[in-house]
Amino acid sequence: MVNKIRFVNFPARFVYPLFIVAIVLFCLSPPLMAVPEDADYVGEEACLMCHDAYGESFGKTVHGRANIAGEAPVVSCESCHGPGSKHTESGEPADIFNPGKANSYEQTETCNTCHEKLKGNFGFSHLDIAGGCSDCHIVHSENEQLLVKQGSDLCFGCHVEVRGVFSMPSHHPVLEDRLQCYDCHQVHGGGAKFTSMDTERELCLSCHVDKQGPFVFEHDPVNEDCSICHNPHGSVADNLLIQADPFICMSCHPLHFHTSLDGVEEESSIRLHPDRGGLFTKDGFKRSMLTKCTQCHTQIHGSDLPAQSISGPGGLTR
Amino acid sequence: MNKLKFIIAILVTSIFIFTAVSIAQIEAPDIQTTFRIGGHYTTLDDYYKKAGEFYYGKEDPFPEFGLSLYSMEDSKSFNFSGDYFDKKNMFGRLNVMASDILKGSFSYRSFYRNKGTDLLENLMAKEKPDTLVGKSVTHEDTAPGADYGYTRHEINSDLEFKIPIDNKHDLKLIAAHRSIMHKGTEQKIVTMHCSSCHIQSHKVDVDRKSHNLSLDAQTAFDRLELGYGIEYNYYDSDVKTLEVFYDTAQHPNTGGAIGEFDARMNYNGEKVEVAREPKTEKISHRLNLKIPTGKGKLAGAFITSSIKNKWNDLRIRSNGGLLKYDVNFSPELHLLVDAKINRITNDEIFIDVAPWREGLTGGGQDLDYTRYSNLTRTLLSSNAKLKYRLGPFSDLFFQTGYERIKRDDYPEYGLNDKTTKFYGELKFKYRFVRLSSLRAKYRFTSIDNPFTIFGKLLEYRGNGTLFPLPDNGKVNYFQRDEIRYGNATNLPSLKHDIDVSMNVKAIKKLTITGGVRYTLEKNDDLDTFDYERTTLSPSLSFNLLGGPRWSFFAGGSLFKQTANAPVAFAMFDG
Repeated sequence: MVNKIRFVNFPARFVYPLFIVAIVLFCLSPPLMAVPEDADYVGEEACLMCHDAYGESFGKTVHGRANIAGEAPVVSCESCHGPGSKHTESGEPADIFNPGKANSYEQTETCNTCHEKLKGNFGFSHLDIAGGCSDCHIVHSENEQLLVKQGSDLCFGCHVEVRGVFSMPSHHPVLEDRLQCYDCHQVHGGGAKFTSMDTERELCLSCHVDKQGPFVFEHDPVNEDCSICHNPHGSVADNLLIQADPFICMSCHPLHFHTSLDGVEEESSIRLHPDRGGLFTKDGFKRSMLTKCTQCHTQIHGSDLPAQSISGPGGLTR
Repeated sequence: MNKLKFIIAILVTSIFIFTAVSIAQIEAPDIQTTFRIGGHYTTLDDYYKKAGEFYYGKEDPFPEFGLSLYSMEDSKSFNFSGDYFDKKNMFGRLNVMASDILKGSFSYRSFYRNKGTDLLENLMAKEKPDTLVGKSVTHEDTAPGADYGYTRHEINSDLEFKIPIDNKHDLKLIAAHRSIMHKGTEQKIVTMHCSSCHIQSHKVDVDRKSHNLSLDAQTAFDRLELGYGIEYNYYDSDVKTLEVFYDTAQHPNTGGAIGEFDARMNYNGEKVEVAREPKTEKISHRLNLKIPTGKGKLAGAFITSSIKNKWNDLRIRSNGGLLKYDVNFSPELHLLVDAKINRITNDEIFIDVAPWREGLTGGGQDLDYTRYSNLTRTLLSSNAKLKYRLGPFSDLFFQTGYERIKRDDYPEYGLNDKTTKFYGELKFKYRFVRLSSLRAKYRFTSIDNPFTIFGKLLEYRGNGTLFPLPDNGKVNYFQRDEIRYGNATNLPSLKHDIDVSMNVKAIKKLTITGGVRYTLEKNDDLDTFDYERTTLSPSLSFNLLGGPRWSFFAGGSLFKQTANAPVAFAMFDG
């Protein structure tokens, strides 16, 4: 009998309080940062008269270094902050556009003025869902690609629970820095490389090509969806299995009837194979058949070779 | 294969040549150099070796080194970054821009994966007999104490040309390559079934290779964007397949009844191949276009691919198309709709097996069959996504979609079953100051007839009448199997997903992130049992960006998953 989960209590505990917090935050939200009207461009020299520290660090960024080259489109203070004449006269922060304090639309549009290619990534990309470009990039940073952090650590800043799952005993080696989140995920949207239909199954098979088939003898879930058996981020069970072998198998298949056999505890000296001695245990058959199905069904993702039994050549044992 | 290796070699060599040319063209290059040195110490106390799948059970200090080189001038640049941990674990990447029209990148990485050892100690059993007869299972390890694992090497290279057509238009050509190689050793287990109940473990070499090669061409004519891509993949192993002598079929205890056991086996008393690595070839073509229409853009693609098993010429063919329409009705309202269709056919194959107990009383049943595949299917899906800007700092997202999988052979010929899925999602995002935001999501998914294993689990009521086989007047255990097992799935027919997270910028450099995710999956549609799985995952983290050169991160998350699912135990012997 399945225990009923008290689902109805969950919103009351977590969602409602957070919803109230959201409303409070909404009320406390600062006014929208806007580009001042009637301002003119004054050039970066005027900006650097006061913001000289930014000028020095900006020169080391990818934008600043592109400027030194002189041939690429010039990126200066006003490329992102808009015309600064009013601000240079008044000195008031409100008189110049600050993308860092703008909402995600204004901020993203500012970046997309030049980085139009990202805008062209059709659909609701990460860019829209996240808080804007500045969630991951710092324009004044000297880091590669202006990233707040390098590698998967950047992603874990928001996706903390995924980092936790990667700490489980079986996992793709992301925390070890051997693979990165972007090996599977396209952070700016778009299709995955080396896949044609961009399905999840195809994404897995783009690296695990040995599982793609076609095989003579198939395992139906392999054709269906890898996540029926595996959690790609990590799991307690070996091989990223969502449940340990044999229980993952037993959620669809019955056990061999040998499991119900009583055994004996004695030295093995059977007539047919006297060289394979050892100690039989009383619960031997249960241990044999209840430990790991894949010990015998080794070719669980598919095989071209028939198993030994005539009545079950597709047993995936060979 | 040699032609493929030649093309890959040309591609990789080109990137290095362009790198050299690019660096040479930078006059007095200003190279930013970063050298990193560090290390870590691993201690293992009562730690099951397999748990260290990538830190493979070594209790040692591990040094780490890293080097970055970066230079940029005009439209030329190079950027190298590399990390060295040990000879089996390293990483390097090189990005080069030789000019406005030429870009290249090359990367290499490797890591070692410990595959663990199956000790086989659980495989010793003998049925409690009154006499010498009875079932038994024994094991034999041909390489006792062996360590198993392989090093995974991955090489990626990309080369991008931008060829000017006229003042406004370019033709972009992108050649990409990826090779993944596994080198090491693995354990292969051989099961001699029933006739001797003898399990053998063998240590075998691993030398698997997967090569991808793709070529893309993209161009734009005024408002129309066009693209074509071709991709080729080849998978093979350079290791000779393991060959093992399968014991002569006879009673595992007494050595008798050779004829009886032999008549139940496809092969015995001979050497046959075991665990043969696949040898496959995949080729795919993709044609895509994008065209602005009014306030939106329409995109379409046609994809066709074919995967061939080179051992036996079996093929999977796939043809698909997709359409996307993306429109901004106003600055506040953004709509995206898409539809996709994909037809996959997996070749059928006739399986010819020996007759069951041929020549013996009651035997001679013909068990030949045709292997149909549940991969043969038609997939249809459509999605609509709506983004509405509630205010300057808040967004509302709504998504809904429908998916239909129609399998031709599911999983037995003639069932013609299909799965349909419908989902709806509502998401709210609120951003109140820079780097501070709140996101809340609720997703509902209803699945009609999720992938189900038919007739493989549990006894069910009203199981019909068993008739003895002709000639021997007995009911066989496989006949009992057929009528005693029902349908099962561990997939939900109903799913609720709630995800709430918040980033709060507590002080200028410190961001606190907290969230909770809750998922409930249920399936009470089957007659045989109910299935339910819940996942609760709250998390909290602190992220301090102290400056451009240092940061501090601390966080924790709890992942709790509870599943109520059946486990089937056999209730009788034979």
